[in-house]
Formats: sequence, C-alpha cells, structure tokens
Amino acid sequence: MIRKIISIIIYIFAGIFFSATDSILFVAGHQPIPLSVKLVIGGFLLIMGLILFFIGALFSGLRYWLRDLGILLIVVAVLQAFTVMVFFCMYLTPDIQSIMPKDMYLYQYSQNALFLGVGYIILMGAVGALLVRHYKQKMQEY
Amino acid sequence: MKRPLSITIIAWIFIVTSVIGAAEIALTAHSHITQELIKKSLFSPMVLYLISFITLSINFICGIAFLKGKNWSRYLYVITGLIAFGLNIIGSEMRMMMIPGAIFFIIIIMFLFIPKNTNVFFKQIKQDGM
Repeated sequence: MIRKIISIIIYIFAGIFFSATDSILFVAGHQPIPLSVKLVIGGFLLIMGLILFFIGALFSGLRYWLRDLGILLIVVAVLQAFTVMVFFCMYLTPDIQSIMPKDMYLYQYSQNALFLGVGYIILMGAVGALLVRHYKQKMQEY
Repeated sequence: MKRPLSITIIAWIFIVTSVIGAAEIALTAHSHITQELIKKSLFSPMVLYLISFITLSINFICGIAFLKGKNWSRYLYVITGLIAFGLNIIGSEMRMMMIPGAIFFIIIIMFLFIPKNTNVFFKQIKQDGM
C-alpha cells in the first residue's frame, strides 16, 4: 500500500514535468524564443518527467506501466487543454487584462507557440490513448 | 465489473487538481492579482475562501468515491457544481471566465451518466453493498 502511494506521488510530479513541457512550448517573450531553445528545454523536462515516471513505476512493480503512463498522459492533456482554455478566456476578459502585469508573456501567442503548445497537447492525448489501448489488447490476449 | 477507464481518469483529475488547487490558493492568497480579483467579487474574502475550500474538499471526496464506485458521488458532484455555478453568477461579473468550467462540468457529467458501462459500474457497487 505504501509503495503504491509513493508511486502515485511520483507520478503526480512526473505529470507536473509533462505539463511544464507544454508551458515552455507556449511561452513567448519580448523577442520570439528560437524553436531550438524551446525544444531543448521542453525535451529536457520531458525526459525528467519520463525518468520520474519510471521511478514511480518501479515502486508499483512495473506491471501496469503501460496503462499508468497512458492514463497520466491523458490526464496531462486534459488539464493542459483546460488551462489553455482558461488563459484564452482571460485574454478576452477586459477586467482581468487590466489586472495582469504588462510583462506577462506566458501563453501569449507568438509565431509558433500556439501551434507547438496545442500540438503537444494533442500528441500527449493521442499517445496516452494508444498506450491504454495497447495495454487493453495485451490483457485480452492473456 | 472492472472500473471504466474514463472514471479512473476523471477521479485522478479530481484528486490531483484538488490538492494542487488548495496549494495554489494558499501560495497566491497575498498576491496582487488575487487581491484585485477578490475586490471585484461581491463576496467577502472570507466567504470566497470558504467556498473554494468546500468545493475543493468535495471534489477530492468525489475523486476518491469515483474510484470506489460510490453512486452518491455522481449526484454530489452535480449538486455541488450547480451550486458553485449559481454562486459564481451571483458573485462575479466576469462571466467569460465561467465558460471553461461550464464546458468541463458538462463533459464530466456526460462521462459520469451517459455510458452504459459507467452506469453499470456505479449501480453494481451499490447492489453489492460495497
């Protein structure tokens, strides 16, 4: 039971890293951030998330890692899609715009931020769904 | 019957967002943006924090109960969600910010009540007395 709780806590941290990758892809600055820089930082966070995930999976015995990773990716995709929607509505609400600091550039749309960020969300959701499907097929074989 | 995957995902979203939401409220309570947003609400800060705390607690409880297949948790979520929306309509003039929550609420309700296997899962647990 304790091992399971530890693995779930580590999964949550892995999910935070996966979400942070998406935030990096959405960031736009005073000057456009080069795509290569975004991909390097995003890739680093993604790898950190995967390492954390497999540490968590080790605690739960690696038996359900396909299913767990699939569920985690779907959860991250859903939450990130919701966050993007919230930010989109924030930008359309004058009352909130007047409160926000002028130099807040997170989620402000740049040349490639929207494409990369939304693309990442779709990719996460699709990979997650495929992993879960693969797990289900594998279970049916046994 | 095995728990449907959609219920597992929804339950974990509820559990994780409740914990993160509580931490976020505690960490950003004194920030300039939070204070400005509170000023724009018709409710006092105390009432707002109380509503947030109760909503997050109920969402957390619902998340755990979804995993266990408790049938009452579906109705508890619907009732809490509707009350929260009612309070938002009364207390806030920023109606645009309610759209993401409304979409999320409708999607969750669809997953909780429409699929056949979900209904069987919740009702089966009730019949088994678990």
